[in-house]
Parts: sequence; structure tokens; C-alpha cells
Amino acid sequence: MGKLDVKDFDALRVKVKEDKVAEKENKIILKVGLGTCGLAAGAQAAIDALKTEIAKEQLDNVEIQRTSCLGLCYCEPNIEVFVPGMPNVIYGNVTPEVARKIVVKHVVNKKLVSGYIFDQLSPDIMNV
Amino acid sequence: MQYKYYAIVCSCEACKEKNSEDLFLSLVHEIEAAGLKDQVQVIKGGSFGLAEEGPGIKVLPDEIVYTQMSADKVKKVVHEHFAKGNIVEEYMFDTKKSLANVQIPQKDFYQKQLRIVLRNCGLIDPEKIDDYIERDGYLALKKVLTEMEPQDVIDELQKSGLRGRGGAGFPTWLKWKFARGSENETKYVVCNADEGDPGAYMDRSTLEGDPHSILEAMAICGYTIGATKGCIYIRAEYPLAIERLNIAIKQAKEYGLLGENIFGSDFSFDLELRLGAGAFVCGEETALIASIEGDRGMPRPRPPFPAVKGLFGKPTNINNVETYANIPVIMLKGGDWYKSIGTENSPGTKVFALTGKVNHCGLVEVPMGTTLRDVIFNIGGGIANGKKFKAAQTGGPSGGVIPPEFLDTPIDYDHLGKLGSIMGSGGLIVMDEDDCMVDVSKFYLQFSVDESCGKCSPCRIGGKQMLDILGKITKGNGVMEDIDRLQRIAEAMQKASLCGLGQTASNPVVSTLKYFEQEYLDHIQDKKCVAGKCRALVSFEINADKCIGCGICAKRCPADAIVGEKRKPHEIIQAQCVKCGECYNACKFDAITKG
Repeated sequence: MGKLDVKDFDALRVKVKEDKVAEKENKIILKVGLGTCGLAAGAQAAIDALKTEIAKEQLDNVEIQRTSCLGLCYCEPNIEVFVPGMPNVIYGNVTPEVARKIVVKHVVNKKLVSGYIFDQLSPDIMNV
Repeated sequence: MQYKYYAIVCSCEACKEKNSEDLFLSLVHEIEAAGLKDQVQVIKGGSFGLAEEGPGIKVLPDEIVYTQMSADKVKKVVHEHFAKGNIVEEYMFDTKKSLANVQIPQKDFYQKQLRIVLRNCGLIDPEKIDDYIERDGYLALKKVLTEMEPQDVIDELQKSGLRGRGGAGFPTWLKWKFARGSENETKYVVCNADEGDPGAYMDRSTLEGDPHSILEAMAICGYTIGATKGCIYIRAEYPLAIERLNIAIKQAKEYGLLGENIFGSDFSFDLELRLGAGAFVCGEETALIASIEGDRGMPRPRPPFPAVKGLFGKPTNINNVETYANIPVIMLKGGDWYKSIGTENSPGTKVFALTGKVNHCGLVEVPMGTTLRDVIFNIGGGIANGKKFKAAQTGGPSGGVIPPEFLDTPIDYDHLGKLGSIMGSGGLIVMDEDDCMVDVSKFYLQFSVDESCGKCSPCRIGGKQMLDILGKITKGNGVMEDIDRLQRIAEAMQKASLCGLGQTASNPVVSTLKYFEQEYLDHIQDKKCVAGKCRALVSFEINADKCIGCGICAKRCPADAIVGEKRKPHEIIQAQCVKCGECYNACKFDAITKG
């Protein structure tokens, strides 16, 4: 896409918002915190474990996405899990073992993984 | 198999102390008894930040939080909420109670944080411009360029009451107004991303997590003051932030949101990065400008201020990363909305890097006016390892300490100033009984002395002299006159230093002297360090009555300073002891004293 004038920009806004809604309804998304804090705590190892387990379970509708610091620095690595039909949750202290459990228990068997769920820190001001 | 409800029992330290384990078991039991095992999954959480309101249960997908729960209350929740779908309102978190002294437009949520600056951090992929646009990114720039005049932007900023978040708290609208008012064909917009305070990483997280918000804000500033060029001065120690900023700039240019004729208007704006080279003083705006110009980072007297004569002698607006991050939201939601958050003289929110001896370190964004107690004990989860709160240090090397009696102080520019500290850029370091206040002031002063550019005598000489005196005191060689000397040098530095580094370098010393004078007297008169930090004043001794002669301490001692036979009381040879404290940490029988 080239340079946007006002019309193009408005059209793009509509499109990306629609895409986001469709994504939430259809895709399983694992959003990993990849700020300096997350990387220092071992987020890369968690991602590698996710990829391995996803391949093992032969899941083809799961996407790993990147985000940055969620603010839960004391319990990094963090992964937020979006499975259509289930509430979104943020996992903390995600070791490779916990990452594996997230894929098997949460994504495949639709059960939350006990002991690792942390809370959203703030309401979303863009949506209040 | 999907559940209808998920009940998460908070298991943070505070809730565990209130028997969250029993709560969990009784909830499981009640659910089974009611035949709802297949409809409700009960799990333990990590933490839900409920602190004194715990133990708590969060119910998803309803997003309901029940607080101060107990085994008998659980029955009602199971039979009313889970079985019949009726929320038990009397057990719900009472938001009125907790947000009592803070102005927030929307009151029906329980979290104490309000993420405005960090609105997109943790939600978007910072390397995808479409993610930013989906969250109304660049909508503010479009609104400003197509519907607003530069004066309208300044008016909106004035309504908002936004004050500079770099530390000084100067009204942002006024700064932009001065730059706009300076007549010149060439002007610059500069972002100070040098973030040098030890322990502060608010700007780093903002740049790594939401780089486009800064680009958009700087373009809005350029339009307002009449600048077509911008520069982000970022410290080289932030490679990930630099990488993400470069990606963001490239993507914005591809979409034409930076460059010539943005949105088809007459306004063009371009920006580039310049990297710092490890000097704290380059966070000071005139030293920063000198650094971009290719000179040694040394400040110069003001006036003239950068708004009149800044980068390359041209009118320049310099703001901190966090100040800029607020701009797009203020343009979209309006200055009045922003003013309604926070306190009368300090509207909006502030991001803090909460670190030190708390259970939940992290990046915290709270409305101004939130108390220190809430930040440390609620959001921060209280003091780690069961220790006692001693002081909170705010403002980094330019700030001061706040003792326990002021825990209920609302955090804003004016209140912190009255206590002898400053807001600063947002570092908030929590200390417990094991921290020595004399040692803390020495640490910060050491930092300022290292970072002093050396241009002016009060800072160059005064800082070093104060550091030498503190060194003497921590080694047990202090005299009473030292306290008076410290005060006099501090006053000279405050009044006569050329820039903020020298003017505020003595703040930690003055502040600790004000609130913890007894500790200084202990060091000077009794040659004692109560916290056990100053090695020269600490001695370790083995209590022969308690020592069982296991020998673990002797094995751990790096100086071979512990002697004794097996199963007989051991002894520390004081002359050889290096005061590392390894024996003290290793002893399982409480047989070693530190004092």
C-alpha cells in the first residue's frame, strides 16, 4: 500500500478493524510479551516451546503474535491467550513447561492452566 | 470441552496469608456438591492484585471480582451465580471505596491503574503499523491536520493541564506556545529519550511497545509550532527500542504519514534518530542539544530557552517520551477529559518504574493523586520477604526519600515537592530495614559525581567533596561537623550549579538527613550501621550458645576466617573477616549475629 490520503486512511481503518473482529472470532492467538523485560526473563524459550508443541499437536489455526511489555514485569515471561469462546487470560511465569501446558490444556482441551493466571492491570481506555 | 464459568482464586502472598488455599478447596467442594463440576472450572491464579481486599475470586467470562471471600460466602456464590446466573452484588468489589480520592471519569472498575501512556503496550505488535491504526493510531494526526489550527491544538493542551513528564513538570501548552511564537523559518521538534535515571525504564517500555505514538505526537507538535524536522535523541543502551523506532519510521513513511504533504495537506514532517553515548547529563535539554550538534554534552545557561534558541540556534520544542505519548489521546478525547483525571494541579496519569523490595515490581501507571500506600502495598503487593517498609525513593539521583509517615501522601508534583522530593521521571525504589540511608545517599551521589560534566565548579567540586565526606562517614571516620558541612555544600550546589544535575545532586543527601538524621548520628557517634550495610561498621560474631559446630559457615567463608572443630562452637577471626555476610546467610541455627 502506498501513501495514504484521507480517503485511503479511512478505508484502511475500517478494514483493519473488521479484520481484528474476524480474527478474534476465528483464530486462536498466543500473544507473547517481547519487550526487553520479557526477553531477559526467557520469552524466547517459551516461544520455542509453544512452536514445538503446536507442531506436535498438529494445530493449524494457532498464531503466535508479538507484543511488548504488559506491565507484569515481576512475572515475565507473559503470554496472553485468545481462544474463541473462552475468556482471554494472561499467563505469567511461563517456563517452557508451562508453555507446553498452555497448548495442551488451554488451546486443545479448553481448560485454563492453574497457578499461572494474572490479571489485566487496567481497563482499556480506548474502549471505555 | 468448554466451561460456562471459570472461577480463579487469587493466590498472591497477601491472599495466601488469608487462607486462599482453604477458599480454593471449599469452592471446589461446593461446586462438586452442587453438581456443577462440568460447568465451572476452579483454578488458582497467580495474583489479582487485591491486597487488603483479598482473598478474592474472579469469575470469567463475567469479569466479576468477589472480595473478602470466605468458605460460607462461597456457598452463596455457587448457588446464586453459578447455578442461577445471579451475580452476588454484596460480595463484589466496592469501587467507590478504593477510588475515593481520585478523579476518574469511569468509576466502575477495580484496578488501581489507568493506562493512558501505555494504552497500547502489551496489546499491539509494535512492529505492525496496522495494529496501531486499528487502535485509532494516526487518527489524532488526521484530526489535527484536517480540522484544527495550531492555536486550537495549544488551546486543547492548555485545557488538559498536561505537565512535562521528564521531571520538571512545566506546562506543555506553554512550551509549545513559546516555540510557536518564535519567528523563524526553521524550527525543530526533539524528543528526549535519554532516560538516564538508575532503575527507570518507563520510556524504554513505551518506545518498545508503542513507537508510533511518539512519531504521531511529534508530527502534531511540528504542525503546531511550525517545524518540519524532528529528532529523537535516544540512548544507545536501548537497542530494541532503537530497532522498533526505525521500523516504525520506515512504515510511517511508506504510508505517507511521515514525509511530504501528510494526508494531502501542506504539512510535511520528517524525523530521524540520534543515539546518545552513555552520558546521563545529556538528558538535560541544553546538553542534549549540544550532543546532537556534535559537541561534548555540556549544558549552557538559560535564558535563552530552547523554544527561542535551541538546536543549531533555531527555536526547538523538547519534550520527554511520556509527555509526547499523551498527546494523541488528548487530541482525540479532548483536554477536558484529560483534566478530569488526576488532581487539580497535576492532571492525568504518571508511569512509575516500581522496583526494589516489593513483591510485584513492574511498570505502573496510575492517576495522579493515587497514594504511595496504594502503589506500594496494593499494586506492588507489599514488601517482599516479610520485611518492613523503610522509605520510598522517588526522582532518581535528583530526588529524595519518603518515610513511612507519609505513605498516604497523594502522588503529584506539588505534594512530593513539599516533602522534599520530586516526581522526577518516575523511578520509585522501595527500601526496607536492610537498606542504610547513608549508603543510599552515597550511592546516588557517586552516580551524580561520575556523570557530572565538570563545566561548573559548584557541581564538579561540591559533589566530590560531599562524596568524600559520606565515604568517611560510612567507614566510621565521620565527625559531627560533617553534617553541617554537607548541608552547606548542598545549599551552594543547589543555588549555583549551571544545570539540573548539579542543582539536584544533593537532594538524596538533604532528604535522608531530614528524615533519617539518627542513622547519620549512629554512623558518626556510635560507629554503627543499623541496617548492616556499611561493611566497615558491621561485625559478625558467632554465638557459642547456639552454634552446634556444623561447619557450614566455615565452608562458605571466602576468606577462611572461621575456625573450629566439628560439633564444637566455631569462631570468626575478625581481622580476616571481609564482612561479606555469607556465614550469616548460611547459618540455619540463628547462631551468627550481625551488628
